[in-house]
Amino acid sequence: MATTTPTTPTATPAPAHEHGHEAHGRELLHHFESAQQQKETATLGMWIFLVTEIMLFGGIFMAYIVYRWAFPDVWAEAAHHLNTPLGAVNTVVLLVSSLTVALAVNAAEEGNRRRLLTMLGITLLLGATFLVIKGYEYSEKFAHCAGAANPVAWVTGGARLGESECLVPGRNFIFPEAHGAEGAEAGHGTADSYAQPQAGLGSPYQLFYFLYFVATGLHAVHMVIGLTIVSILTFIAWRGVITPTYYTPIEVGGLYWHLIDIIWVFLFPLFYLVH
Amino acid sequence: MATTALPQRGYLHDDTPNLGEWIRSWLFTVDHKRIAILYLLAINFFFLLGGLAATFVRIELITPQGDLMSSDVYNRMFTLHGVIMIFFFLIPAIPAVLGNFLMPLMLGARDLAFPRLNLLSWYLYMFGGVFALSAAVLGGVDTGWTFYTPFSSTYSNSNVILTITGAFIMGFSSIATAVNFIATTHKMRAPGLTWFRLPLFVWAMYATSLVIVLATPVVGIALLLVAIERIWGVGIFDPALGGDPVLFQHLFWFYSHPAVYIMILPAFGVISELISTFSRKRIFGYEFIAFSSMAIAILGFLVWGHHMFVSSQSVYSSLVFSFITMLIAIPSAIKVFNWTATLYKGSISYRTPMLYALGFMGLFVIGGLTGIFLGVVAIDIHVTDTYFVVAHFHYVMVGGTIMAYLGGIHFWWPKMTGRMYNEIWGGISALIIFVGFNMTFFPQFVLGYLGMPRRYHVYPEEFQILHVLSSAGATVLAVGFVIPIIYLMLSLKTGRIAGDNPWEATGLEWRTSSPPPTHNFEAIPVVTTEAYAYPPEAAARDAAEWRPGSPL
Amino acid sequence: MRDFPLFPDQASTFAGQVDALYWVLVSLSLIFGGVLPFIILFLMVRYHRSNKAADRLNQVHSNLALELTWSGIPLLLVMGVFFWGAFLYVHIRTPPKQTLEVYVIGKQWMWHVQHPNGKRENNELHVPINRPVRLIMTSQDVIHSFYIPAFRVKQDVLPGRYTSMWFEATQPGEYHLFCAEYCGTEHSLMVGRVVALSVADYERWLVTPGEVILPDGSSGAAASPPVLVPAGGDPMALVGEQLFTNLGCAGCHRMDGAGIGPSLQGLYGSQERMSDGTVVTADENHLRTSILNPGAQITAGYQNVMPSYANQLSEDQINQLIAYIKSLADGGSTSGSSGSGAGGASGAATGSSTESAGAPPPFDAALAAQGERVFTNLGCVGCHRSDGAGIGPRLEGLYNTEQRLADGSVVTADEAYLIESIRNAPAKVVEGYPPVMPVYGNQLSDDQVRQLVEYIKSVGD
Repeated sequence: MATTTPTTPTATPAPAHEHGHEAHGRELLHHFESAQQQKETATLGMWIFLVTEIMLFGGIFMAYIVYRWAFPDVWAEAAHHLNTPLGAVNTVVLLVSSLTVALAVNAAEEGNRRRLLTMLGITLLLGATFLVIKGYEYSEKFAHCAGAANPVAWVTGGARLGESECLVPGRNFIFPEAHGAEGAEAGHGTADSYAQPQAGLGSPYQLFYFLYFVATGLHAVHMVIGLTIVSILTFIAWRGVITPTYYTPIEVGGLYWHLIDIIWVFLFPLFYLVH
Repeated sequence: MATTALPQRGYLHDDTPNLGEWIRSWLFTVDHKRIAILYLLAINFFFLLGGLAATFVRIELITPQGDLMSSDVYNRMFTLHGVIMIFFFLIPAIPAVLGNFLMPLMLGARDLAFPRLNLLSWYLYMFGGVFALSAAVLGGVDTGWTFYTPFSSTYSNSNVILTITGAFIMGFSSIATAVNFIATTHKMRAPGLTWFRLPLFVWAMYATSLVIVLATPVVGIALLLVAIERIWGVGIFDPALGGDPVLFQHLFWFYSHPAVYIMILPAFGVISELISTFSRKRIFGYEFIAFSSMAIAILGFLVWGHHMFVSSQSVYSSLVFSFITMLIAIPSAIKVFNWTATLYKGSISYRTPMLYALGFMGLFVIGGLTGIFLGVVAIDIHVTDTYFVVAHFHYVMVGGTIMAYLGGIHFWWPKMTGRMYNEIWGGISALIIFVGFNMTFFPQFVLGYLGMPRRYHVYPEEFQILHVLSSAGATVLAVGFVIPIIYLMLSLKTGRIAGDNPWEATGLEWRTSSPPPTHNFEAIPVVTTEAYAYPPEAAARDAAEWRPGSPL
Repeated sequence: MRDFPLFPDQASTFAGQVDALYWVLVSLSLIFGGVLPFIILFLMVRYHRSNKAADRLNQVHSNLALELTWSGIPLLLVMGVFFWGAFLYVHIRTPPKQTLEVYVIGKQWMWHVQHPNGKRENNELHVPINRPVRLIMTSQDVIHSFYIPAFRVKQDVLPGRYTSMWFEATQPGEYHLFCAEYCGTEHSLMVGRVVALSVADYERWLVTPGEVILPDGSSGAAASPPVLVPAGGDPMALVGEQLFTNLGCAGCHRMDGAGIGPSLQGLYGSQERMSDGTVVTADENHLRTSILNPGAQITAGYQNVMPSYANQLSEDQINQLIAYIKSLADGGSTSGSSGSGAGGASGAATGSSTESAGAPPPFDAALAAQGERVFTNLGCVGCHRSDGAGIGPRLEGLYNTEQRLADGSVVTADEAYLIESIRNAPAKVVEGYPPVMPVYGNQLSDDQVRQLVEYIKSVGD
């Protein structure tokens, strides 16, 4: 220790290097020289991790671009069957939650524990609201595909509801306005008089909904992880671990939450607002 | 070597009362050095497993008829070889073992930035390995390590999902390590250790980590999509579902080409250390080597399409990818030239790590030059998916990465264990590996240009002589790999005590005891000089002190 | 172990060009890869510790000029190599205007080839020398790769679309044909030979019938003996035309352009404006997409009303339709060929169904004739051989007889049984035969099944 700058602004006592690690919290981990260094490192680590998250979604975006390029009309038509008002509400919900997270970080910085807990609580509520709305949107789609009542039937393609629309990719996929894509129309000529409705297998409309479900599903998984993180943050804030000198967990957790929001801000126009 | 006993406070030192405690002290350790040892054991286990699969492949190919095993078994063997070697050996080998052990030591830090994340990465690696192994035990997988759709997503009747899950989880392990390295390099350097005083190994690991962070998630999502397509029969790759099978190749190679650099960049780092130390001379063109690592890391993201010249991609994209592929040859060449120039006016010794480094240079040059052949589209059309490609990437990955890995293991063995290995056996095995390797893979260039396609179980008779030659070489190579395992193990009991700095090297890792204490340094060192600050006088003195009978 | 080659045959116009570039690269590699090790060895010896005489005090640690030199020279060299390779590549990828077009279908694990005149072959490709040949290739299942080392050409063969490559053979002989993209269990058996023939031999070969396995897996004779083909006609296009008629395409795609679908006359190779404003070349892939997924690319001025034919046509049939549409691009013989198409069809039918001509007619002769064509096209004849030696039961004399099934029960082979056996063969398998017949479930229209049944009735005794 002798060789480093002797004092740090927080005046942390020189850490004992033989010390164990279980006591995280406000204590400085043994391998850091200063609280400042520890905080910066943690934040940087989260930023790098966020880059990997962006690349993860980047793969889906690349597939999206490729197929939108290939089927621009299909994309525009397919997007009309998503529930845009609910998507918009969800966007607002998430944006507000970003604000509350930012306020929570600010409260932590100022040591306002009450406000911190309130903001984290509101964030939790908003996140849950998002998931409920998203779940409703999904169920709306599945309801037409025998999936809401019986997911097994959907997977096996067993029970057909005989509906004219099923937007869940799979054997029952039927896109209502797609001419030719489903082959279920009354035939002219001998060729399609025997055509069984091939549902959407092979239809580019299905590609859109597949990407929609994968992208929003992956996003929802991240939401669940984000909610878990915020719950833990709320718990440790409630325990009083967070102080104006040690609020790195709130800041780092907040970064993750912002990322989830930003991804949604991209997903929403890409899927709901295609023209 | 004044020291005669191992230091009492080394990280290997065991003060646990009973076996259970001892196991816990390893399995729940957050010490980067112990985690590196855990990795070392696991990775070498997978290396032997992958090598075993390769052995079966080579034995099968001795005759053209395909008489040892059925085509199905053969396909599973080469897939096992590829999956294990790439995902569970080559990608993590140098970063997870040497990188984990050395990064904090070289940076003058007490540990990596996120020690628990580091331990998690080992568990993720093991967890992924369990999936991959269970896939193998339950009957194997026959898609090849490339998992091309729609074969993998629809047609294959093997344990694709398990294997993909293994690779996916292993990806997270890589990411955890990379995040750790980047954060550590940025934030935890010792006082005075500026960016341009960093050892080139650190530069290489840093570049590697950037590549891992940017590329691994993309293959993650691609494999996830394949798994979804396989499980639910809906997806975006199978043309029967309206998808495009080539899209998978784009996503896959967007990762897997940079993955080549994930494998070779750390090797560059190791070689820079070895050449400099055993020439007792500052590395020639430090900045050029450092920046060429970064250039490779960046350009490596722009060349994935050169794996797909015959896959129906457009002429224009092929030309662009070909052009950038040509460019990437330059930073690699710069490195080789700089290493060569480092030898000039040095004081060279032929210790085992140096032999590996020199072997590396010879083999990597061949691997790199044949890479240019493959980058030229007109030639690639003929030789892609043939043994020419097989030979090329083995020259880069075995001749490059494994040579560097072994060289690095030998170089830092005294630091890791506190004991010296047997120098004579070390030299012999390095030589055997070099000869065996060339015997195995050089004939494959000829085979490839003749048109022998890869992944063939039976093949036309006129190729047999070359295949027999290759299999014979593989036997020699196998012997070369087994010898170090034996003498390195023996050295743990009988090896000479190494002392802190047996090579008289300059890195910070040599300024602590061997093996280092748990917290690496008694006092955090202060850096006042550039890396590899070997004074010319030291080189001259070495020569003056050399007597017949001294180590070569 | 006949011979021990170290360098492949050069049997196409590309071979010499590719090899020239290859040897230049080999030479450059020898200069770098060969000289560098000697420099390293020299330095290793010269500056080994034991050499006390060497100067070690005046070290250099960097030299910008040197760095730029050894970056610049390789850069110039690789750029030269790149441009050479690029021009050669563009040449390899640009087929001449007039080529002989051959259709290739890859499937696990065989190559199926059909020549424009209808001649089929498996795992073999006969080509004339000194004539550019273009392969139009697709796959029925996974990705394959068509590779002829002696010609230095290779191209992946993808499911769901066409890829193509061209070459011009120069030396008569037999060459390896490999599948170069790993495609599953018997990947290494997906090999064959390419036979390059003199033009005269090739012409002779073209009209010699041969036994082949059809792409749906059944084995059968060549679709129809090429000798029956009227001069100027071209059987792949002809079969395609019959398909075109049967599917009722002509109802919308009227030749005069007055239909609700675009006229196909002169379509192939032209630039077409789509409804979204893009312009596409009406190549094989555009035609294929338009048949299988018509909504994806709609010609400007037309409605999106065409049904999809995905899953209803085999790769073979799509090839035939496309060959027909391409034949319309040539102009000239089009109107004539539609007339002679019908004639050719009935001619082929009568030609090969002479043995059933004398049968009493409890069946509809017209339907039976059509049925026979379906029977041939599907390749049923490969298994249901008339000599009873096939892996499926002989159909001659089958109708209305009692058959013992694999489960021991006895059924009468009446119409209902025949229909069921066509639609869902595994349900009632005749004793002594393996349950290998594919399910034709929805692939056949009711009409086609009807025709098949009438045909089977027609060979009733």
